[in-house]
Amino acid sequence: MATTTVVTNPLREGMRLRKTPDPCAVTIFGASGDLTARKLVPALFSLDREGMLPAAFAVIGCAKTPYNNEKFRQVMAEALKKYSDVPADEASVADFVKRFYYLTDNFSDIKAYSQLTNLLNKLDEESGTKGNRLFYNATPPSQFPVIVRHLESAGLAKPKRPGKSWTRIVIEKPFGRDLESARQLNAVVLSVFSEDQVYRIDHYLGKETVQNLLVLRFANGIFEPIWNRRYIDHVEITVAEDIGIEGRGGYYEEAGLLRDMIQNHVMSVLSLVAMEPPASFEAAQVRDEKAKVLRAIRPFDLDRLSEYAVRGQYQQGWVRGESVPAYRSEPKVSPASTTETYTALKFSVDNWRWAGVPFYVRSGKRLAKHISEIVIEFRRVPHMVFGKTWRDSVEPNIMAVRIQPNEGISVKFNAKFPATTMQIRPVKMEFRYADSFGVETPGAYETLLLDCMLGDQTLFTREDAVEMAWELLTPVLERWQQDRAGGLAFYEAGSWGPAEADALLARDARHWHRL
Amino acid sequence: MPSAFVSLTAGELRTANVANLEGELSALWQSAAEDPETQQAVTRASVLTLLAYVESQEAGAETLDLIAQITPENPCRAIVMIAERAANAAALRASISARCRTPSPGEKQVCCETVSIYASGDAVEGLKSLVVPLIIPELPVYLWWRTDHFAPAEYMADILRVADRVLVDSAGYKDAEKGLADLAQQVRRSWGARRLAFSDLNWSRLTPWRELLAHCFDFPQATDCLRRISRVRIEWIADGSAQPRAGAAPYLLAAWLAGRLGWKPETTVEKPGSRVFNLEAEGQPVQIICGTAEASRAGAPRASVSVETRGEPAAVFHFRESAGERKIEARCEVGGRLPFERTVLLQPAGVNNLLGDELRFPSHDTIYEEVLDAFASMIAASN
Repeated sequence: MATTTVVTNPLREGMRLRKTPDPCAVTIFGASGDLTARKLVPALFSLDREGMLPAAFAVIGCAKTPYNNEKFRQVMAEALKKYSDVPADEASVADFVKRFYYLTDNFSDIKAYSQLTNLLNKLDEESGTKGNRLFYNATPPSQFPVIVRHLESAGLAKPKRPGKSWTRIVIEKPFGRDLESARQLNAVVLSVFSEDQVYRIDHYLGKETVQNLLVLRFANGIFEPIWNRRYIDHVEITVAEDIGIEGRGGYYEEAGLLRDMIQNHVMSVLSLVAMEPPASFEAAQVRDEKAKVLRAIRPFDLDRLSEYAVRGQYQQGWVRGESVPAYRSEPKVSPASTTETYTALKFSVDNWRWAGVPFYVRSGKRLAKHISEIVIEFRRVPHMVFGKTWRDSVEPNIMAVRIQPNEGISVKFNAKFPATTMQIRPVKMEFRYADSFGVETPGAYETLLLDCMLGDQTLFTREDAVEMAWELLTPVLERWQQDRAGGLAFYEAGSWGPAEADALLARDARHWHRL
Repeated sequence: MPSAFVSLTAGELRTANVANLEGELSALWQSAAEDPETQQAVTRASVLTLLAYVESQEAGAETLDLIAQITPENPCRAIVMIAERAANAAALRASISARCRTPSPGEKQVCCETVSIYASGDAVEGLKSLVVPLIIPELPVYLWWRTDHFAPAEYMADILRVADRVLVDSAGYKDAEKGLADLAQQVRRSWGARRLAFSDLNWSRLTPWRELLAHCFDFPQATDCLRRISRVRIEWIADGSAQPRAGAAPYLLAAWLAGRLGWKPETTVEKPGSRVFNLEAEGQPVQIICGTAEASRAGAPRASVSVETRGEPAAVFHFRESAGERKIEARCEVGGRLPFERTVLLQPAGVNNLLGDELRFPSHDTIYEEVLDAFASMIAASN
């Protein structure tokens, strides 16, 4: 008698429990650095407290700093007490760091990988990590290609038990410093790993409000019909920081604002605002739609670049009541530096949905306050029935999506002021996460690390998106490089950026929204 | 001396005029706005209306306490109904209070409101006239039913009509078999034009069990074993003398397996300390034994599930939760291949945690409804 095979598991249906990852070992290269102590380990601890880590779990720290297991555990325990968002009592921390191991070596040298292989195999046997491996590159970008190649040579890039275990690699930004280097990095990474093993992390996409943008757009029937050129006048995206370069002069001189913020964070947010609805919230579909947006962005006309792009640098000023130095006076910064600490750009998305709707984006250091917000300004009513008095004074509707701080969404609309005469006033309807849900929003690294372990790539940047963003922005960087100081605008620290950025919108009879 | 609003936010109940509860609530927030001690702006937040039904003042006090624990994460208007129908004197009285989260410096103080309504004797008939008008329009309405079985009296009909979801906890059912069968009947009754959704906190307690069971059958060779299952033994330690067969948990798991795997009930037999369900799957017999583990036996698990199969390759699936340890361990072996072992850590499953989790799911749990339906058929097979 022929037997039939049950191909699907009927017990799976209707599960509401968040899936916990498979048993696994997380190897962090650059484990003695700031990112590990401030972000990665606190995020893993938080996941552990929520019961979202598998019982069989281990962290292997790899770096040159001469620690041993005990010292690494001690340093990470101290970091947790300092940086953890969840209560880090002695017992929980001690219990958590018991699963930490450390290898001191030069991981630019292939020899270091044999002891890593041995430790991973030992953990598979003794701790039950089952051959599932997540490699996290928290090293300076120059070391990425070396580590990737050595992982391959050591036989660690392929799953240990094909079909039964997994191997993934996380790459921190920057994903290259221009189109050419991004292509080279992608080529190296993809010669060793397949794209579905690669997780290019942009912590901005792990933020709750960024994800909520998708829910706002695609889980509500009232917004999507008006989310287009017919109803939207323009879009503004602001990612403002009041801090300076925090002692990272050396890095910043090489990077600049456009590489540090626009190429990754801002372009990702822009693509989420402008994308078409995906067929489902699956990684490939969401990433396809985001890529289509980047593909539709009109390349800048370099001969008229100043009409589309502004770069600025902060000068001495006051921030939060304190006098702060000019960028050129910061440590490890050249006194004649032309590195931009501010960028404003005007993008055009050439497709049916967005033709004629400008996307203005700005980001900067040492601005008036720390805030990230997306502003959607709707078109004015076609005809004002309340007479000439109100024709120009009634404000357009605004939807603002606040990414940080105080995450939430607000809608501004007009209402009649209670009076015997017609008086129209704008009012704001506000939704704040903290008010309505009263829960701490999970940290971005928490969300993203969990996704890596679960194998969900939705919130990670794909190879093509990285390259398309560079394709748009590399010519701008090159032109700025040629122009040197020409066209560099200066702004006072603690202000909202250079006057040239205001002029960018003023040319279109618009202005930046007050944040 | 603390001002009126501040003492209310500390959980103090204030007697309210039952004829004007909405007005009393408005006055409460007005006093907050004017109170010199509420230094930050006060926001009245609600994402749902939570109704709770209890039948004693003691249960009422406990319910108010549990609600206070979940409101920070689930801002709501909570209305606790304490109905003592058997009391001689007919009385209807109400009190109100506010619950506020301690704000961070510069933030708004977010507060929720709680209304407690006590009804005794024939006055229980008046409950609906107070509760229905207080429901917040356009937001989901949850009815948390806290008695030892779900059998609403006629006077609750109008309140059920405005509810979207009923929450029960079958762990506390004195007679789990009857309790679940009655619940199944109520669910069937609600399958009219406007289907009421049902949730069971006891079902939520089983989620890690279900997750682990499902996970063990995810692998192709193991998935194929599902059609070869011949016997399932489910044992739970009784949680006290009031629950001779460990409440409803083993029945819920049994009905879940039967419902999901399409097993047809044939007969059922009650034995000392256990119930045996005989079912049929594609012409083959399947037996489920729901029993009580001996708590006194050294090393006895708090709960265990073992699954046996017929035919080749031989397969064994065993799951156990050790007493005193917050984890479930699974060991699965198919055809002599290396065993699959997995451990799932259990999170605290206090009523407040479970309730808070349930309030985040507004839609039907169709699998739970299927489970109740399957259980009703399985237990009816004895007749």
